[in-house]
Amino acid sequence: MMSPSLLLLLVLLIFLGYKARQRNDGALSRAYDRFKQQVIQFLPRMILVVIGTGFLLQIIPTEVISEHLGKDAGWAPIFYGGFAGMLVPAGPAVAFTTAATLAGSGAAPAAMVAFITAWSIFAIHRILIYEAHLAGPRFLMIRCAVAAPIPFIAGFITHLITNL
Amino acid sequence: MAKKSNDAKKPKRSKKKLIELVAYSLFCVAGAFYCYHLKGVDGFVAALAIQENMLLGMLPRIIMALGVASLLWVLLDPEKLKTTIQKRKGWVKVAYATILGAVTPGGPSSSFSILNMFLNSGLGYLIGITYITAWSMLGVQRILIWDIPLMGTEQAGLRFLSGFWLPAFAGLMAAWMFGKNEGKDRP
Repeated sequence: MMSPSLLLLLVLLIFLGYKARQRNDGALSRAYDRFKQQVIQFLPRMILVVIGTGFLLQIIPTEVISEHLGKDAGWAPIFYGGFAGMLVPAGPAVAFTTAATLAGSGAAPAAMVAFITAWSIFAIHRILIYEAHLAGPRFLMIRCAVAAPIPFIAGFITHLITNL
Repeated sequence: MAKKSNDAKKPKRSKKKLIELVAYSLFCVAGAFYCYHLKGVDGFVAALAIQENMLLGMLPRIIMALGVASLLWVLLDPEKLKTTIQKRKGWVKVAYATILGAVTPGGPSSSFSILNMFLNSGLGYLIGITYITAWSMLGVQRILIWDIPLMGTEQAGLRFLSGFWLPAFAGLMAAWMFGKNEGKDRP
């Protein structure tokens, strides 16, 4: 049976494909070219990430993860996840592999929401390469100051939702 | 001249991709070695079963997600969306900045150039911070390509549900704490 996420993607794909076709300006073939590029770029990485994650799930001691990052550990996993996410100096493959491995080993959804949100807002490599140069130090400082609580707020809300 | 610099960038990019692939492959080999070393044949076979399940579940989703992301990349016009934001007022403007941030196609170079356009056209911290925070945490492309396939729909949905309003919160905080516009010391 088709999973809800697959069904959602299929509906989106058909709808957007129809919209692109309706434009009649070569949008569909441009999208196909882009799709081929993306497949070449992402697919090998994703396959390797899955293979690596499969091995990690066997190696990582699930009891330790459940004890410190699991649902029963209370609010603490949100802080661990949020601070750890801020420190991941790598792209989405590394961040999401880590998150998927931890989630598969028993980490609470709230901790993973804090982790991914923190990584996506504060990806240190992106801040150094792009933001510091393109947006300027003052903007960067202000953004970091106002965005700092966001991963933890998102984690707390997830904790409340999942513990309803 | 521009063509020359683009040509020079291409081999650099493909070299970077090759290094990344080698690094991921080494990660897999190291994982396989430690898995076999620590858990023996049974653990290794169990890992292979997990990988098989994950790959079979993920591959169709990844292929479709890449298709959706490519179509969005072609269909969305950031220039048009920027003009739309400039026309709006109050809360609607903030909501539009959040949506635009979430759907901006491409990587940081395109989103930061849109951010610069916003700041230079006087849209200020409220819109600038809202936009870039939405791009970083709610980016549809990232949700489709990474979040849903690796974390699953439920976890991705939880993250969206708990965080969709937070970029606007960050923008409002920035405008409240640091004023609406920034000085002239921007690069």
